[in-house]
This record gives sequence, C-alpha cells and structure tokens, in this order.
Amino acid sequence: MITAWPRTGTSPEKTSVKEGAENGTDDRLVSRLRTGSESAFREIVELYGPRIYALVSGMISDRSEAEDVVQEVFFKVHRKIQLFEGKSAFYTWLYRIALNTATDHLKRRRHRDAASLEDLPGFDVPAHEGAPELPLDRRELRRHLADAVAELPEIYRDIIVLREYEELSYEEIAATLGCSKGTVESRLFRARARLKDKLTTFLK
Amino acid sequence: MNDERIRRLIQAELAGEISPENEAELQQALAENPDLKAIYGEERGLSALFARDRESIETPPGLEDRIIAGVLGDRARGRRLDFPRFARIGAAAAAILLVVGVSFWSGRRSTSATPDLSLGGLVERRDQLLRDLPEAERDAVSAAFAQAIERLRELDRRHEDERSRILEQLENAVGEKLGNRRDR
Repeated sequence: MITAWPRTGTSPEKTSVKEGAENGTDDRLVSRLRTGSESAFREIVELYGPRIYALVSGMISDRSEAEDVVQEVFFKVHRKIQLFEGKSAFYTWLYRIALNTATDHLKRRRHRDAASLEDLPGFDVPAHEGAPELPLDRRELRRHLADAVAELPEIYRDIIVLREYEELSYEEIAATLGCSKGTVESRLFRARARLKDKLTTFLK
Repeated sequence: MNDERIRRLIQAELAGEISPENEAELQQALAENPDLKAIYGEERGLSALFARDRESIETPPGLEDRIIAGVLGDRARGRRLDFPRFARIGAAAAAILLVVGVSFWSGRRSTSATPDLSLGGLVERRDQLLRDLPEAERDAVSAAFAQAIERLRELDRRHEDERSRILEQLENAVGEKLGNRRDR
C-alpha cells in the first residue's frame, strides 16, 4: 500500500496504486485517453505525476533533471497509449515506462559526464529555479542516496525505488516487473546489502 | 539462524510483509541472541534513511501543469480541442469529405483523379488548405485533419502488427515443416 506521498500543494489523497486498478478508475481513464480525451490525460497526470516524480527522484537527485524525465514519461504515455493492451494493470505499464525512461536518462548522463565541464572546479550546476532549497544535510543525503541507487545494477535499482520510494508491496512490485514475489524478496535483499556498503557513513 | 536468514526476516518485517510465523521466529531469535540486535539496528537504519529522504522529496509546484502544457502543447500543433465523441466522428467525416472534395477540386486542375490518402499526402493537402482559408475556419479544419491523420497512423500500426504476426506464423510454419522433414 502507498502510505507516504511526496509533499505538494496539490497531492491527491493517499491511495494504493492497486485501488485505481481494482475499482476501474484507471480503466475508465485509459479508455477515455485512447479516444484522445485531454481531460483524461490531465486526470492521469494529476493522479500519477507526484508518484512518478518520487520514483524518478529515487535515482536522480537533481530536480530539474527529474522533472525532465517525468515529462518524458508522460509524453510516452500519451503517445503510446494505443499500444497499452490492458492485459496488465495500467500502473504497472506506467511504472515500467518510468523505470525505463529513468534508466535511459542515467545511461545518457554517464556518457555525458565522462567529459563534462561540471566536473571541473568553478562550474557549479545551477539550482532549479522556483524550487525551494533543501537544508544542506538533507540535500547531501538526497544526493548520496540517489547516486548510490543510480549506481546499482538495473535489476536492483528498480526494486529499490519501487519499494523505498513508492512503498509498493512485494506483490505490486512483482506485478510491475513481471517476476515472482520470491525474486522481489531476494533482489531487495541483495540491493540493500550493496547500499549498506555504500552508505556506511550515513548509517553510523 | 544465519545472518542472511535474519536479515531477510527483518527486511520483511520492515516492509510489513512478514508472516505471523516468521515474526514469531524473528522475535525468538532476537530474544535468544542479543548480538542480532546490531543487525536489526543496521537494517532499520537503512529503512529510516530512505524514509527521511522520501519525506524530503517535494513535488515541484506546478509540475502537473507543466507536464500537461508540455505534452498537450506539443500535440496541439495538430489538434487543439478536446472534442466530444459525436464531434470527433463529425470531424473525421468532414476530413474525409474535405480530402475527397479537395482532391476533386485539384483533380480538375491537374491530371490526377485519385486522392492521395497517404499521411504525407494528407499533411500536404492540409497545409495547402490552411494557407487559403480564413483564420476563423483554420482550427476546425486543422482538427479534422489531425483526427484523420491520427486514425490513419493507428491503421498503419495495426497493419504493421498484423504483418509481423503473419510473418511470424509463416516462419513457424516453415520451421515446423522443415523440422518434420528432417525428423523423417
């Protein structure tokens, strides 16, 4: 069950992603979106936008980068909705798009960072305009955690963000990634073991 | 109980996924072996770290509006209005009439009598029409064309899927026949 939400002035009520799938809300929205309804698209963005932002932020600490990725996710949803066959729950399809888009972004960033000016002294990355700055220790934690998660192999990274940032149940994670609950449990165990090694200074 | 087993149980407990039997097993292990409390503390520490980080993630104000504006703004180059169903059907019918009408009209001036129903042809005709139309009528015509273009794209996608299925079936059938012949 989703028990925590990224704070925002416009967040919807706390609900489980399964709820939207089980009570038919998602199906109705998807049907309307397929016919080109802009209002259905708005509802989907309002319902899932904060969730996808939290998911993406689990691996990308820079707010403007995370927002760009979220924008790309919803662009793909809008463009590819006709390809969604409805065999699985809509949220699993959406989360997979989000995970793949974020993974592609990380790959591109690694490639770009290989010769980036940002690594040189005197080239600070500008802060995201309009977003209030976090206190230094929280910002540090954000950066370290997101970087540690981003460095994990993809199979572990996906599990960690779905569990720790989306707070999905093992069953919901299994449905999203198309694997068994046992696999979720094992991968989560290994992912956490790797993270503990990387985050020892924060765990003392 | 080994280290991995205890960590898996703690992890399940922290995720709210532990069964009553495993919970009892965990509590008993913790009671019998005080050293395991260090492991418990470490696992809880990692979960607490994530919880703290999760709490600090704030959705940027106006994110949803920017997404909607970005995506629909991009789409609006082709279609600006969210038509109700009957209007969409009407718009599609109007698009077809327009295509046929324009083709007939241009056919009288050129040698071509068959309307070009390819995507490229439609886009070209739309642009041609929009250039000549008064501004007040452009949105409706543009929306009608966008609707028809979207439908043709969908048709192309379905044809593509169907083509792939036919080819796949052919490959399977040929593979099976050749396999059978080899078996004989």
